[in-house]
Amino acid sequence: MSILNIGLKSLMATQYAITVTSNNIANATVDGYSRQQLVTSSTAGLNFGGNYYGQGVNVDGVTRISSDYLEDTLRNTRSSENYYSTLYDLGVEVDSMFSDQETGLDKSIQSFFTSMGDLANNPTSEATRTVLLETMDSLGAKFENMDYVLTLSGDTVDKELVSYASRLNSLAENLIQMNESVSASVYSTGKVDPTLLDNRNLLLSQMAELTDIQIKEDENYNISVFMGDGLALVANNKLSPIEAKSNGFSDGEFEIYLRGEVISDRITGGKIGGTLEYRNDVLNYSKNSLGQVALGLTQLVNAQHKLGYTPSGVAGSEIFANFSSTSKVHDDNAGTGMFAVSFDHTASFAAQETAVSQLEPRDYEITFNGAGYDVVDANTRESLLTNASSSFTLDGLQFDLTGAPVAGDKFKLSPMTDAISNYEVLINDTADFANAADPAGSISDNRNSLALFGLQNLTVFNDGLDTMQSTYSTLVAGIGSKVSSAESASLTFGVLYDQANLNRESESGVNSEEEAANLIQLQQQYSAAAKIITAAQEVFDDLLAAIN
Amino acid sequence: MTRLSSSYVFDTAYSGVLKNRTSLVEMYDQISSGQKIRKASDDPVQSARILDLQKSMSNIEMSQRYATTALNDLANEETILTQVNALLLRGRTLTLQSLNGTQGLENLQAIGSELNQILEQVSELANTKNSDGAYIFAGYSADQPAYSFTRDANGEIDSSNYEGDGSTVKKTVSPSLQVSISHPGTEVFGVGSDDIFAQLIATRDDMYAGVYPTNLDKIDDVYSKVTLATADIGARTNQVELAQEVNETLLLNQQTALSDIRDLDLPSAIAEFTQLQVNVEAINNTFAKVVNISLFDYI
Repeated sequence: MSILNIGLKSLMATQYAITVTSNNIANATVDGYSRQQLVTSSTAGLNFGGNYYGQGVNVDGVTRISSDYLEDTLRNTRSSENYYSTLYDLGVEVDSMFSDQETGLDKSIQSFFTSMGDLANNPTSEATRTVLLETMDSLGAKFENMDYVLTLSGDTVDKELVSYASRLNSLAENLIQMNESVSASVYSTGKVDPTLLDNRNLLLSQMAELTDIQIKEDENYNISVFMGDGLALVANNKLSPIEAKSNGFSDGEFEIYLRGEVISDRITGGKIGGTLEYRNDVLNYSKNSLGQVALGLTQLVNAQHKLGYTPSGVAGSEIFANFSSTSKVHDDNAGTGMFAVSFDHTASFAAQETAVSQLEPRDYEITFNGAGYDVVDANTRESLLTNASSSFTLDGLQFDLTGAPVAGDKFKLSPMTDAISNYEVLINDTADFANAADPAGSISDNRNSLALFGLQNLTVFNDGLDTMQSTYSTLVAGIGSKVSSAESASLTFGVLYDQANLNRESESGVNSEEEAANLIQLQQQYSAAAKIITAAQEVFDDLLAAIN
Repeated sequence: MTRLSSSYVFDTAYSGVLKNRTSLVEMYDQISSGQKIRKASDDPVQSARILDLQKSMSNIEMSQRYATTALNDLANEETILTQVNALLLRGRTLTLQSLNGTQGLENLQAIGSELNQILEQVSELANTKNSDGAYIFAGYSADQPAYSFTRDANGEIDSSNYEGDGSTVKKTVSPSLQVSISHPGTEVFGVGSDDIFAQLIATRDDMYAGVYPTNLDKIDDVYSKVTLATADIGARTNQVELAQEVNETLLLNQQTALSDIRDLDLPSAIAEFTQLQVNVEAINNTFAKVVNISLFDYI
């Protein structure tokens, strides 16, 4: 080997190194880029006269500085951060609405009872009766308004789920193409283009933003992706697309489906997980608790009002509409069955009070198993009744079947939310308020209105623990703590994500100073290598001159 | 030593700028509203307490309004009873005068006319209405006069009948206390043939007829009923005033509690705000310096 050859190889190696460094500098700000290094080694020596003489430098290849462990951590923290920040972003709007004095329910209930108190204390005043009618209307408007905002939020949730699902599917499709490119590059050159790997990691990271994923790389460099507790989204480089669609009950909410099955409750991370968690734990819980107050308030007030008499001696009528609601039936139902749920307004006041104390803020799903009816909580899937008859009492409510179901038919009931749309003031004449406790028709007999007023402080809800208003303040606190823990968790995972990012960046990121220093070193190296060639030439020239 | 990538240096410096600015805006929000708890997630436990306090306070305020009305009602009744008291005293004196045996027939008839005047006045007072138009001695049947009267050919009252239902109307004066705010006519003026009207009619007619009245003891009975009712009002007024004081104290305590929980401690908030402001300025100043250092500048 000649000096010239050693110089030449050094020149070449340095040029490659400068290329790699330049590429690092050029990609310093590119998302997901991992810095690259030229790997060189010393060429084995040749033996001359018993001594080994090194034959210069060899270029072995370009490596990508990357750690699977760090990429995994980055993805997982990103998934968790997105889960909690989505839950927070969606939840904080409900939180603000419920806790604000103007948009919340508390002030309206308070006004209702203040008017009731005014009536009890000024039974002869026509003005207080008129005001009471108005406050009942505005209480209804408040229920309706809050329900409307929550319903809109539910619609948004459905739309978000659809767009997240289609985004996840298209990312998965890109991943499959990327897998193929990686395999193709290995097949044709025996080596993987590092850029492909970076881009593939970037895709995985974007998928992790949507849901929690685990990945597995096979011997052909193909990456499979599993969601939640091991649901294969991409396996053997084939996609099983997820789908966000209605749960099958007419006007039902959307669920995530994979290969025809609902997997919503198995997704626990990312934006999809956060959105689902918000829907079940904040949105549905708020709607149902709000409905619980609406149902309890209207039916209790009715029960008490009917114990009294108007100034003209007529027995009190219903102030609010009696509660009733019917089931949504599943699209796949083969039978004609239908469930109705009602509140027994003919029972004694004490019995109605007991029924109100048993109300639960939940939705029900009933399945006909051929012999009986199985009832579960539609949100938590907790089993409530098994093999019940076609008419049963549950949580203070009466459930009755009409029509003929076929085994497998499903029904969904949302009595609490329906109680909100059911809110209707039936009294429109101020003379119809039953203030009196006996039918003598005495205008100043305020005993029944005092009793109605007293309902404000009756601890009847939630097994006799809560008043109407404390049920509401418990709800507000519940939403608040859910949202605040989501907030602190999203901050925590934000920090962890930053940390993971720092770790990844310190391993794989480009440091311009470092590259600049490399560049200086390489420039010097290049000059030195060039000098070898000059030296080789001069030595040769000297040799020629000597011969001549 | 940790190896820092250039984009990480930039991102960290930049997010430092953003974070501090966000804190500044949040702090400003608190200062401008004067409240440190704006939504339940700011402090879930305390926000439920805020709602409970607000409810309790508006109930107390409501009770205070009712207590004021109740005091008015009681004062009204007391005024009426004082007048009835005075009239009865006068009637009793007149009756005693007639009994001393020195009065001639003419005098007795004059006393009879004066007793008739007293009867008219008491009958009017018995049918007093309050500011809402309710007859205060009628019990629950307050939309009609407590007493109805029939008159003879001379237009003088010759019989009375209680039209009320004898009930005692109660009103709320504190979240836990209801107080009776008037007496039914029967408790003040007596019942049926024993009532004050029957006594005054009988005495008046005795005077007209020139015979000595025999029912002084019955007049005394009614007189003591009125005195008793007046004392009752005094006791009830005390009760309401006490409830008002308790309400006042409760309200003040709850206002303090609410303010402690919800309101911002302004001086310390402003100090914190100033501190944040200094931070933001410092970060803004150093940001450019941190991200602008580069070896390339020296090549």
